Amino acid sequence: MLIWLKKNLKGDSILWGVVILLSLFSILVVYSASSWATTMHHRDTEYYLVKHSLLVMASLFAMWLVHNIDYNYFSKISRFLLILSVPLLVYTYFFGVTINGATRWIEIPFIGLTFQTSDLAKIALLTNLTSMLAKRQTVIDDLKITLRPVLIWIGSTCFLIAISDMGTAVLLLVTCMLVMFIGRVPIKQLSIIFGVGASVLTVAVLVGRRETVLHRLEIWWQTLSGELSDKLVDEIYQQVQGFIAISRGGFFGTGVGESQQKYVLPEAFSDYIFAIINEEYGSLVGILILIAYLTIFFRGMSIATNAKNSFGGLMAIGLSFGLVLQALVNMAVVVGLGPITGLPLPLLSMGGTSLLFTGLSIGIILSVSRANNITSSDTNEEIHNERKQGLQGHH
Amino acid sequence: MSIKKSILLRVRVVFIVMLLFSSAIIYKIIDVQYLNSEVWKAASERYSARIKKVKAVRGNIYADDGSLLATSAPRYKVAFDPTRYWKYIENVKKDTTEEGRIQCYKDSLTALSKELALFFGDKSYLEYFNEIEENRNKKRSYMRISRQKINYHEKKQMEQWTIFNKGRHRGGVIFTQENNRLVPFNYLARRTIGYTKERLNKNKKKVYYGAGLEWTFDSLLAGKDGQALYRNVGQGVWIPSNSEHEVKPVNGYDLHTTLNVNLQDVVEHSLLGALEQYSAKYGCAIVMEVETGEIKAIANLSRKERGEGNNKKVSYVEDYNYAVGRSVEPGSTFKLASLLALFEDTDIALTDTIDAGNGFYDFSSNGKAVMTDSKSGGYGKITIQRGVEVSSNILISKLVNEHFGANASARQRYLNYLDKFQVTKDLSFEIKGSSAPTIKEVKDWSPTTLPWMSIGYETQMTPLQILTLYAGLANNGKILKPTLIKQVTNAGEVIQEFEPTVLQEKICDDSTLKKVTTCLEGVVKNGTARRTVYNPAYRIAGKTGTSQKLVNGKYQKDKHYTSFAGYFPVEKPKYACIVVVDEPHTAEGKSLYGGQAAGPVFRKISDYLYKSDLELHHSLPKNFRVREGVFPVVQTGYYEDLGMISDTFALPHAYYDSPTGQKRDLWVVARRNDETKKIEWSPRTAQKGRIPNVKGMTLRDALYLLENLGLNVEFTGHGRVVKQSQPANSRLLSGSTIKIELK
Repeated sequence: MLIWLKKNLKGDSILWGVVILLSLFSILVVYSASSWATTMHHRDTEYYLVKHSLLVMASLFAMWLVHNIDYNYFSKISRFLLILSVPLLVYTYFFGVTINGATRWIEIPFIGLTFQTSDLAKIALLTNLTSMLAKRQTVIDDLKITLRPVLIWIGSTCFLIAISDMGTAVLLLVTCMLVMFIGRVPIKQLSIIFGVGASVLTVAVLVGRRETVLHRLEIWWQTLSGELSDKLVDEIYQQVQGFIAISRGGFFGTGVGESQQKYVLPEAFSDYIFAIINEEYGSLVGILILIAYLTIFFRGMSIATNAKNSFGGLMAIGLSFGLVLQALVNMAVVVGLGPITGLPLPLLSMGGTSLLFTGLSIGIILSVSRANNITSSDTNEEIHNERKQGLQGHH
Repeated sequence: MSIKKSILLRVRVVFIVMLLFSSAIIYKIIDVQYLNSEVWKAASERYSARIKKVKAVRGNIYADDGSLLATSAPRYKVAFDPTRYWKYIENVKKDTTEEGRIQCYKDSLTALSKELALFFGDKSYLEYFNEIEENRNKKRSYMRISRQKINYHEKKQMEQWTIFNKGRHRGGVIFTQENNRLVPFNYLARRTIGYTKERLNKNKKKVYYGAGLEWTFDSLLAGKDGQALYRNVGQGVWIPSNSEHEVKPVNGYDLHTTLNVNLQDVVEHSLLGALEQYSAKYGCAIVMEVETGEIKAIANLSRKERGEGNNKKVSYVEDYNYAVGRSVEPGSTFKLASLLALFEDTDIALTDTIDAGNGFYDFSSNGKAVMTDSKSGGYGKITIQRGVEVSSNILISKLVNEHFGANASARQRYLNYLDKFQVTKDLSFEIKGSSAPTIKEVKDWSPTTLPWMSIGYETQMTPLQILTLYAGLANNGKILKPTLIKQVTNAGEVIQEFEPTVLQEKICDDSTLKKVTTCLEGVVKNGTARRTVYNPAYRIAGKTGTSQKLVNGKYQKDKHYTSFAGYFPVEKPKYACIVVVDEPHTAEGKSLYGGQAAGPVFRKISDYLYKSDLELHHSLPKNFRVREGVFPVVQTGYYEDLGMISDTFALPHAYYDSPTGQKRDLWVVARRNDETKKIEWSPRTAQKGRIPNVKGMTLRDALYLLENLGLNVEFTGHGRVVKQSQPANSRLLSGSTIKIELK
């Protein structure tokens, strides 16, 4: 078994382990948390279990498939996907499928599945950004060569995402900033990009669904500042129920399937799954989950450290950061550190096709680590050269 | 610094930021769970929400005329929080003196106590007052006002009362809703309507059980419960919210039965009378409509004794459905099946004679299987018809044994006939727990099985099984499946309609039919049922049954299971009926026979049916003729009206005064006295609790009288009433339907 795993699951084995454990745990939690939904829609109890399990398997399979691909290949394909994502985002804004009041999805013709276009744009932008940065390491301070294209792509993509999905856009912007910070973009230029990004998002707020965003910010501000009033509880109903879940759970939890709040929290199986985990399994497991995400980031870091070229390194760090930051933000929202974003907890939430994109990005990280593991004796010339050019740099 | 080093440094900075972020999250979790745990524990109670079941409304059960046999209606428990109102007074009357507040409080509470005493009538107002004050002094925040539960209208009424009109928070009144099952006709057909209940089993799991139609059709009646999210808005008040979680309940279907309320009432009372008179153990009666197989009434009563010696109280309650639930040896009513088989299989004539001997006939030749007849000394040589009329066991068993006892194939032929007559087959009747007949297969027979089986022993079946055969015979040989259900509807829309099911198209040929009918009518005219069942007004055919009960393997001579099964009117049968009275005996302890115990009940039922069924009823001769030029038509009516009319038209009439002095007894019948040339009046007043005689009245008068008694009136024709479906002076059953015909 182990030999078989070693043979087929190449790349960082700790990353593999953590991801697989989280995926299995996700099936368990989603099954319990979605039980009300099954009775509500008069479905079989196993409906969501089967659906979610299939998607988890598909995601793991996508991961496996991608991690076998040479990651340098993604540099080319990411540009194509990034360009493609622009009309898709526009199309989504005008003709997308509305789920729970938000228009973020488009339907894939003939299959009937929907997918969130921002998922595609996100992964395309991050991959392409690292590719651009890696190529321009020597001229990283050059405004014209480096800053301009980067600025254009980040600005336009974030804007297009922000008009329908502010949470994702802010997160993407922060992730991009971080990737650029790591990619040695000077602080001065970073502040320019941040300034542009922030104003673009502000415009998006004004153009898009501003009530939601402003309202969420406002009531979050109120929660931070003081007493619970009945009126406030009405407004932040979801948060209060999440707190109650965490409070009920204690350190060891109420027991598997014993959650009461799952009946009450509208997004028990997606956005608020961390609250349910804390309720059923206690903060012990809740903190372990947090550590698991930090581990993913840590592994991303060491993969980046050992990467054979700066593209691979930046990509590994950028993608793992994107994933883990989303996880931390989701948890922060649940514990009341931030306003509601509508972001799911990657790998754990029941999230339909976005699971596949998560699988895709982890697959890419693994692909980088797989290349690292190939000892220099059997490394081909090209990679070796690139590594030389990349991290060791020309000086 | 190399590029790589610079990048790695930056990566570590980022990692540290992430760690700080994570620490903040962990801190927040600890904050919620430990540091600020009270806030969230309180919030958990204060703002918690629950998914609550929303009960589906259970469907109704209707009688054949649409009367409600069972329905669901909310009932409310009334409780009170005596601490609330005083607090409210303290708050709103801050500027008055303490004495003023106390006075105000006491005035209101006195008023409320008086309302309570008046409404519930179980305690005086002072008792209510003191009880409430006592609870308030003990700072109890919950007290049940009364064991009685109230209905919706009563709740509305109570909400107007002082203190109660301040509501839950200020006034302290607590209404708790319960969904109750109501049976408007209370005891009527109680076991057949049935019930569903739940209890906890050993493992503390809910177990459902029940009986009758409620139980059998539970899945149809129950509907599907829904759910809704309820939020606690404080003080134990839950309000539905957040429609996302809502699942609307699907209400249950309604069941339309074939039962007739009036008939059911008559059947139960007739049966009860006989059971009480003869101190019987239990009894049951079923009435079936011949042409449809519809059961119009089904009654079961069993004896309950409480207390000892002189304090012993006997009552009869409907707690077991003997009519369909218990298979017993039917006795002589089963002879019909043997008779049918004989006439079908042979060409014996009614006039053929058989030697029934001296009342003893030994089938075993060693004295161990002696068939006896009830007449001491025996019947000697008698015709077959006479043998049936007097219910000679020897005659039937001898004949059957001769024709079907020769060998296994002949015995099987007898069984095949029984199969054809449906008496061996499971009727799969619509009530759960209905019993199927048990009949021995030929290979299990002893040499004496056949003769005893032929007269209704060694085989068990329910009264309904026997009735089905009699009804089939009455229906020109076509056996229909007995049925209790006509329709299943949902909000008035028919979901399922039940049509008569034919079990056997023709059980025998017409000559057999004729012979058997002659015999059965003979039983009533000249035989065992002559004294108790015969009515010269219409023709009844039937058969008595008396079997000794088998107790611990021995037949008991002093314990009889008696019955009478029959149908009428013979020329065009409409109803079939069976009556069973178990262990009837006289005050002296003498056991009675089917003709004596069950027969009279049958007769009461058939008389009622004959009188009230307009199709069977011959119309009355017109008592009141118009004499042209003498008097205008004055028939029956209210004296004050008729008198005034007569005065207006200057018709001479006698003075009349109410015999009781009460205005409601001023109903009169007019009679023309030719000698005095005057109209004379005689009273036409019904006793209390009885159906009045409305014949001769105008529709307006009849409607006024009948509807004021709580009856539903259906009428046809115009003119004056000539027929009424519920006979005059029969028991008044409020809410039942009476049909009248005018001409």
